[in-house]
Amino acid sequence: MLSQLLFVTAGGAKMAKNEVKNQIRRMRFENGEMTQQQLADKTGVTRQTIIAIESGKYAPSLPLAFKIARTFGKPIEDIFQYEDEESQSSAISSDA
Amino acid sequence: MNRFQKLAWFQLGVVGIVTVASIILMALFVRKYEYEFLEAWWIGSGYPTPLLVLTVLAPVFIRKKKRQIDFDERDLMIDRRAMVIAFGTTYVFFIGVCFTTWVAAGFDKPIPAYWLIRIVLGGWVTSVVAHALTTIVCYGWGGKDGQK
Repeated sequence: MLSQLLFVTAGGAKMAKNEVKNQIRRMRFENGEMTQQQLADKTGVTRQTIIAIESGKYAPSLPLAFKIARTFGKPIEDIFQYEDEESQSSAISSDA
Repeated sequence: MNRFQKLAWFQLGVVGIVTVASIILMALFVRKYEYEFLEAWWIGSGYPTPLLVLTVLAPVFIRKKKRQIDFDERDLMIDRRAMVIAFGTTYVFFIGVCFTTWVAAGFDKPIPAYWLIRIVLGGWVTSVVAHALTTIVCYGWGGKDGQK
């Protein structure tokens, strides 16, 4: 247990860099300038969580992502886009 | 700043006050009453120690606002992370203290029973501080994701 903790905290474990981008800010403004608090109340989370998701610091769970998408009446792919290192590098090579 | 950040800052504040009060009393006992260091440490830090109960009672002072959602999946994730780090830190603390005591007291010597209370209290304070610090760091020191 201790060795695992030290291994992870000392940076021994390298995880693939994944990023979930989102369009929540844009969708809020397109839906009657909905406030972060209103969206938080509708999805049952705190305003801080909405702020963290919007700024990309926190990737929501699948149920929460669905709730947010349903609040805006859009499919989940319109709100959240998943980007990993592989898709980013393939996008760069296709541009070139 | 949400309720969990306030709780964490409150707990850190209590531990800070107890630490400062202990150091002042220890210095007083050594300088004024000419106690030996270990005696002064035992007596001096003994008086403010009961204040540590406030770290457990913190939720009584910092209450949840009515009809407010104050706990969701992100808070749960941060709390779990804080608990894991607090557990790991306390584990390391106990190993460190056991080895230090073993070396300091002598390899084949007994240790006073009251040391055990100090070690347990030290472990408790370590876990409280580690949990509070991790909570504060994970929330971005209260600023970045706070109520702007």
